[in-house]
Amino acid sequence: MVALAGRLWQARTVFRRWWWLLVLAIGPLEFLAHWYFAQRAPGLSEYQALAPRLSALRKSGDVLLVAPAWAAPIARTALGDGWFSERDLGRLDLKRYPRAVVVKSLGQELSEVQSFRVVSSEIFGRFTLEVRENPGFEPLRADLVEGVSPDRLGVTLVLDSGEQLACSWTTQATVEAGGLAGPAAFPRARFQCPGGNERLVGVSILDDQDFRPRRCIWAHPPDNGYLELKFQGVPFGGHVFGAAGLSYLLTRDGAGANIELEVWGEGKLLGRHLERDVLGWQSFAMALPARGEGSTFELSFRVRSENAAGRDFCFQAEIR
Amino acid sequence: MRVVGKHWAVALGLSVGFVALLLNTSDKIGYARDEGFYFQAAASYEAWFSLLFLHPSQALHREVVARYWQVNSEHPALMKSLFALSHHFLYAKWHWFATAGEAFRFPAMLISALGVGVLYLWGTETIGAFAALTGALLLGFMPQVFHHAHLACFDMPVAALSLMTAYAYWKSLRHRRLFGALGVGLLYGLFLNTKHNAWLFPLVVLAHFALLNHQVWLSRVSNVPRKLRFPPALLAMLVLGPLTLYAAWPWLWFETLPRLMAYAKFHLGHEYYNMEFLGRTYWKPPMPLGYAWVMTLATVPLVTLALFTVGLVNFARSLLPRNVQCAGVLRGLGSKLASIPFGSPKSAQLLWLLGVAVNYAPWWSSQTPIFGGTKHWLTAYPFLCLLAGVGVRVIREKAQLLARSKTQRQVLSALLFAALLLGPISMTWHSVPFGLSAYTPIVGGASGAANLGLNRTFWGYTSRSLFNEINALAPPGARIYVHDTALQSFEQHQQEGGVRPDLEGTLDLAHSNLALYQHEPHMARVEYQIWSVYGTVRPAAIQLFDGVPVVWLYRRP
Repeated sequence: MVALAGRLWQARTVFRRWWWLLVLAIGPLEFLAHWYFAQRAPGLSEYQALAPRLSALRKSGDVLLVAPAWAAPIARTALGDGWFSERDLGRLDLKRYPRAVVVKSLGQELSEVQSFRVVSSEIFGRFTLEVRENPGFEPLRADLVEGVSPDRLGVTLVLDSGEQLACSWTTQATVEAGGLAGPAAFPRARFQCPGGNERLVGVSILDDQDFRPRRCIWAHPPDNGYLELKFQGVPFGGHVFGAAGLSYLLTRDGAGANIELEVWGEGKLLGRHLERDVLGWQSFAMALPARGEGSTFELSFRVRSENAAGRDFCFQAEIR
Repeated sequence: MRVVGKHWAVALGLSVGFVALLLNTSDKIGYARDEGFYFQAAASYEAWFSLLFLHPSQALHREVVARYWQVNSEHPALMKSLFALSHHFLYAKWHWFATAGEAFRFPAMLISALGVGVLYLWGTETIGAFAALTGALLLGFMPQVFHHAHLACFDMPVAALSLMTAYAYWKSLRHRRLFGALGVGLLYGLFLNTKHNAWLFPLVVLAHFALLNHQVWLSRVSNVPRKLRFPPALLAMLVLGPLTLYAAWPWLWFETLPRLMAYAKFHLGHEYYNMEFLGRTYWKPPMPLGYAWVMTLATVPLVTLALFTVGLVNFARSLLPRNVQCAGVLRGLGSKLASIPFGSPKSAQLLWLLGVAVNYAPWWSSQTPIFGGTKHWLTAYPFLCLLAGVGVRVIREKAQLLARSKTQRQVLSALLFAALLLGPISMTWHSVPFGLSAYTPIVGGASGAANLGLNRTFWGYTSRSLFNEINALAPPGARIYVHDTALQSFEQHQQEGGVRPDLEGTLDLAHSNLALYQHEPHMARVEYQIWSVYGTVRPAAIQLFDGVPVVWLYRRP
């Protein structure tokens, strides 16, 4: 005990005499650390060099993911649209993908695939390339966002009076994009409803509460009554999984009126989802009626709001 | 006298050298969003100055003043007036600068550089030439200071003017001359006319005054008479300062009170913009209370902060009596404070400490906006570096004990100088042109900051780094969506030949051919619109800083 106290006293004396060397050492150490950190992240050419190896690893239906997520724009620049798509980037979730190919660098992980089983892992330059199998894989039976076209979808406004107004399909609408503070992009191909340019049904991409993309069906509610989207040829059985919301940046103050989304099948209400701005995008799941294998039915979505002004509502829906 | 002359020469050399470095790197740094607005304001003020020269009575008419000075009247006039005069004389008339933008930027560079020189001068009078020189360079070589010092904005000029005013105030305490006091008042007026940070400065000098005089008030309780040491400069500041602001800001010449109120209201109730911090985007109170401290740690070289800590501890120890009981500490501290001569180095150190404390104080409140990142408290950095200079002096004294000869002492000093400045200089030089994306190794550099979710960039200045790609990829007459870059900034670049003359900057994404995107999380929805409108998620070009994407460009297929 006495010896320990003596040593401590000695260490204290040494520290009091030489502490300034520690401060002085920070300078060169910081210089070295700076150069280490400045060069540790892979550059564009290194991402480009991944293409052949990724081609060998990827199977049809796989999704390509990048960790850290902030590096994804580099991978998109390097690898291109063949590897990434609006559909994959703006996905509802990962359940539709049997496997994920993950490009990892800087020791970063993706929480989204933490539960996935690692099938293979290899070092490639400064990357770790992993193939991971999705334990929660659910084969996709229909992606309704892909079904926004006149051969699969009919859109009408049903007014409180009972009058029905058809929203007409066009492939020549004026494309609009509101920038940071304006509405999301309005597509050229869409169902245009009466009441204004934003009263449309078409595919757009909105930001959710994590500012992540949501590729979704823009379905602005009408001022009175409801907007009805009727999808034909929807397979029986399983569930409709979805998520709904508005641009989080524009609505996060929570001042907007709630929006109600009803899902109907075979004349029955299958479920109801209430959108509240402050919550951001919220998911929903509803069971579908079951019939014989291969048969289909009409699934409809009804969108309404007490106060429709500025309610740029959008939803995703998949049948699994 | 010869020594004083030498110090002035070194200060001048430092300032000239710093301006030269800024000018040398200026063309790499794109025009920031706010610079575009200030260019526009400066052009309006320049037109008024021309009118004043040609038709003074017309220029002084109420409506005419309002017409020319209403532009950007939410900020005071000094810097924009200097931008205007620099543009008029140094670019248009005398052709000293090749580009208008460089001429607009020059006054801010000059004042920032003078700040570095003044820091050295003050240091030589208080902590010695070696520590002063190191402290001055530590200020100049903070990556974010170096970045802001380039811009035709107010953030570094206001930091420099804060330092100059404090220095002049301290000098006036030393010499107690009427001329000096009037000079402080005038300087404070210019400081007030630079940016609203100046509103805080009276708190620094009043706190300084109060601490050094506290025993006068206490004596009224104890009945021990003491004489109040009242600095005339304080009075000059409070009287001459507002008068100078009024005189040098024509916008205030008419409807003075309502316009002053509108100015104050704009800043006291400023809109909350978005800012990412530790993975979360803040856009309304409560703001994170750790913001200023974490961001300082993440962006100021650690060696500078360590030296500041040493300086701070040294100063605190000098005030605290040794070997006293707890109850006696306050009494001892009080008597030490009271015994500090007004114009002494110790009085200067107290002023520096208060300069740091008061300029950081607003971020003790969760109501204070954080959208400008570190530039909000740049005014604290000169004082922080002066205290770091105290730390340098302490360490140098320790190191000198190892030397046995003058030569050894000189070698040790040189090694010390190199060791302390190697990191800050290399980090700062490396940060050009992406100074706002630069982070220190304590958070793992730029990539570490991206992992932590710290702000990547703002103000849209990074577009400059993709002009070669824009010029190469854009079809003739193409429209370029500029995203967060102000159109005025883009057009300034175009006028200077950075962008092809046939191209047009636009904020209409739907009718653009190429689209820029500068990343901040809340801006992501703009990128999604680009995907929708262009039908591709693949950028045609991207600029990385240390492997971290800062700005990228889409081309309509």
